[in-house]
Formats: sequence, C-alpha cells, structure tokens
Amino acid sequence: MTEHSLGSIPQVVLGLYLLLLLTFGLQGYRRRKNEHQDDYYLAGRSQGWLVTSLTIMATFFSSFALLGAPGMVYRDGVVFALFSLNVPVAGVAIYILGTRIRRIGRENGYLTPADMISAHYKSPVALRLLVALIGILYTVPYVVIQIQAGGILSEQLFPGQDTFEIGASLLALITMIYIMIGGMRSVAWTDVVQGSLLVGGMLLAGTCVVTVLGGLGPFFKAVASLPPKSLSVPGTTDYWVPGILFTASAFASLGSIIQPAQWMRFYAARSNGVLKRSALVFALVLTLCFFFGVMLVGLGGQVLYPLVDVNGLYHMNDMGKLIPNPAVGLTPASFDQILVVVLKNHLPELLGSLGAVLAVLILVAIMAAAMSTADSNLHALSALLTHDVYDQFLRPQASQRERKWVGSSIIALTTLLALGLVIFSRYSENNPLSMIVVLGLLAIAFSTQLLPTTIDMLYLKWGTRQGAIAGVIVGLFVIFVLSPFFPMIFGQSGQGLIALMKRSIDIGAWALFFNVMTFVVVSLLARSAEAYQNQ
Amino acid sequence: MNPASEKRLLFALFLLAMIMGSGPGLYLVNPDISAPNPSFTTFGLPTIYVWGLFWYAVQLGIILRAYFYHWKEEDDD
Repeated sequence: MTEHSLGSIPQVVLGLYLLLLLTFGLQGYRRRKNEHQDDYYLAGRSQGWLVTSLTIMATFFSSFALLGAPGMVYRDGVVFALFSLNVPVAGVAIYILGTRIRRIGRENGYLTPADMISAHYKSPVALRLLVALIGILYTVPYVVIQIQAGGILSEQLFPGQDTFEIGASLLALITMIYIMIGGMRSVAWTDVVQGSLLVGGMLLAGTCVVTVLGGLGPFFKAVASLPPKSLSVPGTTDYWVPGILFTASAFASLGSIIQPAQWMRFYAARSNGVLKRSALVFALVLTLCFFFGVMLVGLGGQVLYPLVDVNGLYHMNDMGKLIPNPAVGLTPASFDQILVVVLKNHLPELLGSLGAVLAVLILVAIMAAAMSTADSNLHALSALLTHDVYDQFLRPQASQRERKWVGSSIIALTTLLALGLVIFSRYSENNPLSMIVVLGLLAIAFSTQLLPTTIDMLYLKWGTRQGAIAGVIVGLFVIFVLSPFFPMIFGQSGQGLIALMKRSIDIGAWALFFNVMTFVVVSLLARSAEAYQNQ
Repeated sequence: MNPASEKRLLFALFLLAMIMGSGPGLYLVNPDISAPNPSFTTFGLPTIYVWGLFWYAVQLGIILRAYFYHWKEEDDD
C-alpha cells in the first residue's frame, strides 16, 4: 500500500466521529435543567468521577500532546520525553489546589476564577479584570493551536488544494456548534468520548511505531544508534538545558491545572472525593500515555526519517534553522507532522486495511484532543467575558437568557477570530504561530501568573490586594518582554540580557519569579503603610 | 511515624523526584558526548529515558501512598 491508499476510510471514520459529537452536544442541550449560568457553565456542579477525570484529561491533553510532544522529541531527541514528568505534578496539583478551589467555590457559589480571587483580595474591578485578561491570554492561543492542528491533520489525510483551510474550519465550526447548544454538559460528555479516544490513541500510536520498526528490541536498538545529541541533554538544538526543562515541565503542569477551564471543572465536581480519584487516574494514566505512547513516536520518527543526511549533517533551511527530513516537511514548524507522516506512510504498508483503520483512528484521536481542548477553552472564555465583564460592568441587570446569548456570541466570535488567525498566519512569511509546543508554553506562561495569588488565597492568606495586582501586572509584562512578539515589535535591541534569560529557564518561570518578588515586596509595603495609618 | 509527619515526608520526596527527574539531577546521568566512547544506553534503552521512567515510578509510588493512606481519610466535603 502506498501513502495515498487510506481510501475512503478517513471520510467514513471522521464522519461517524463528528456525528457522534453532535449527538452528544444535542443530548447535553436536552438534559439542561434551566437557563441559569450554574447549569450552562458548571453542569449544575454535579459531575461524577468518570466524567470529571476524562474532562480534566481531555482539557489537559491537546494537540500539544499528540502532535507537539512527538514533534519536539523528533526534533530534540529523548530529552523531551522527560517533559512527561509534568503530568504527575499536575495530578498532585488537582488534589492540593483543586479540592480547596472546589470547596470554597461551592460555599460561595463562584462561577469563574476571577470570582474567587477578586472576592478574597476585595478587588472587584482591577483583579477581576486582570484575572479575566490572563484567562483570555491563555485561552486564545490555546484555541488557535487546536484549530491549527485540525488543518495539519486534514492536509495530511486529504492531500489537495485548500484542505488545510477546510480541515481547520470544520474543526472550529463543529466545536463551536456543540458548545453553543449544550454548554458544560455537552463539553463534558463529548470530552468523555474524546478523552477515551485520545488515551487509546496515544498508546496505540506508540505501539504502532514500535511495530513498524520490528518490535521493542529492534526499536530500541535502532534508537541507540541515533546521533549523540538525540540521546543526551540538552538535545539537538541545545535548547532543553535542565533549567528550562525543569521549569517548563513544573510550571506547564501547574499553569495548565489552574487555567480557567480546569478551575471551572473543579467547581463542577460533585465532591472532593471525585477530584481526589481524578487526580490519581490522571497521574497514573496520562503519564503512561506520554512515556509509552507519543514519546516513542518521536524517537521512532528520528529512526525512520533521520534529521541528518548521508554525510551526517543536519537538514537546515536557508536561514540556518533546523528542519526535519524533507519527507516530513520543509519548514521548522513541520516537526509537528511526524506522527501523522509515520502513521500514514507506514501503518497501511505494514498491516494492510487494518493498518489503515488504525492509522485513521489515531488521527481521529488527534482531532479529539484538539477539539476537546478547544471546546473547554472556548466555553471557559465565554464564562469569563460574560460573567466577569458583561455581567459586572456592562449590563448587571441582564436576564439569564440575555447572558446565554452573549456567551454564545462570544464563542462564535472567538472561534472565527482564532480561525482567521490560523489561516492568516499560514500565509505570513514569518509565521508567528510557529511550532505547537512553543505557542502552547507561551499560553501556559500566562496562566502560571495566577499561581502566587492562588496559593496565597488557598493556603497562606498573607498577601494584599496591592501585592496581588502589582505581581500579576509585572508577571504579564515580563512574559511580553521575553516572548517572540517583543523583538517583532521593537526589533532586536537589548537582546543580550533577554537572550541570556531565555536560555537559562522557561519564560513563564522568569515571569513567575518577578511576579512573586513584586507580590511579596508590595504586600510588605502595603502592610507597613496600613500599620502606619492605623497608628 | 504520625500521619502529619508522613505527609510532609511524602511532599518533600515528591519535590526531590521533580528536581531529580527533569531538573539538575539530570547532570548525574547525562552522557558526555565529547568523551571517547560515550555510553548512551542502560539496559538497552536510552539512559535519559530510563532515568525518566525511574522517577515516574517514584512519583507514582508517592501518589498511591498518599491517596490510599492520607487523601481518603480526609473529609470529602
């Protein structure tokens, strides 16, 4: 079988999958109990452990995990497999942070993260808006990379003109429809389907690549002969020094667990017991999927599609940047396509029709990962803008029905905006969206800025409103200065110190460091000023 | 050991596993590619990968112990 011999299997399987999602979306709509926001955004705070586990997993696992992670292992080698260790950390965070968030949220009827943080620090305007802004800064890039993944998949599955645009649009529109009609129930129920698919898909992907290379023995024998940089730290591009790897994996997990969509899933859980069990399932199952699933795809990819030519030289583009084997792609962003290329080119050849079905199932799992993260984030964004901005500052007297319509409009507008960004950036010479992992880590850096206030609010109860506001502002500013957008706007000046900072630890960790320092110093000053005034 | 002390110990061990697994602990096992005959594998697998699996096992052991002996004891609401 050749690489184009998947036949009509992709159309049939994808059609069935999308139909199933729409059915679940409709079912979520039928099960709605009322027009109240609690029901639309938190499913009446009644979710059991299976739904909670799978919806937390499906929201956590995105195209970052299924395309980005194997792409990064394919580029940098085995060092990025250690990024899997962020998953148990996230599991523990579900217990440490999630159970307290749920309890306080339930006691006070909170709907969004900003409700809790602004109430604790008694800052109904500034902190509410800042927390909502962080949510937006996290959510939009994360939705963008999921839609981008839909385009990548479609391009590989259905070679032809405009298939990237068609795939991206289809993923965006179907996701948009089922969230709009059914709210949290639809999102959570579709997450059950998608979560199961992506867990199975990840493990199946690893198994398939090992099978393609002749089994575990031959697989690891071939891996052992990869270039030395692929088998050591800091990897092919010298990027993943332990400082960056450690901070990126530690804060990726914490930032992803306190992002708005997950925070709302804690509120939606029926009890703390549900969250504890979810934390255990999460840490056990998802780390296995990473280590024995997608990470093996990246390593196998290096064997099947070497990064070096016959002379042992790495493939480079005209600008001197590392690119994958030409059979995978011709741009630095093409590393993300390794899983799709391996499955499509090798599985049908090895296993015939069964291989074609398995390949398509895994590709559908990638789509499931992308859709399940996009839906959760779009749904959370709708809650942030409707509840934290529209309800509070624009139309406090709005009826439940009006709020529902505003929420739905926000979902539609954001989806179209993200889709437009994906399509526009594809034709931009210097694609600002670049690789999935790079953009994903930037989004996570934003949500990580909620960590100091969250820990203080749940455990320490020491900081002040002024400290929280100043810390968040400084954290966001540092991310902007260290992000790829700063040199795009202000040129390369001052790159010496910035470049040094970027090479040492993850930018989210730098921002968190300055955030915490500011939070502590300003809180101390505010307390001193208050004590002075009271004298 | 009383439950509170054990909880603190488990937390400290978990932090250690984080630092060792993907942090500076990596320097202990990272193959030196400039050495004359560097060894990149342990038990036939890439050494870095084995290192990751080991610390995953440690983290998972801590989580299982915490779940069955501490978390379940707490009030669920």
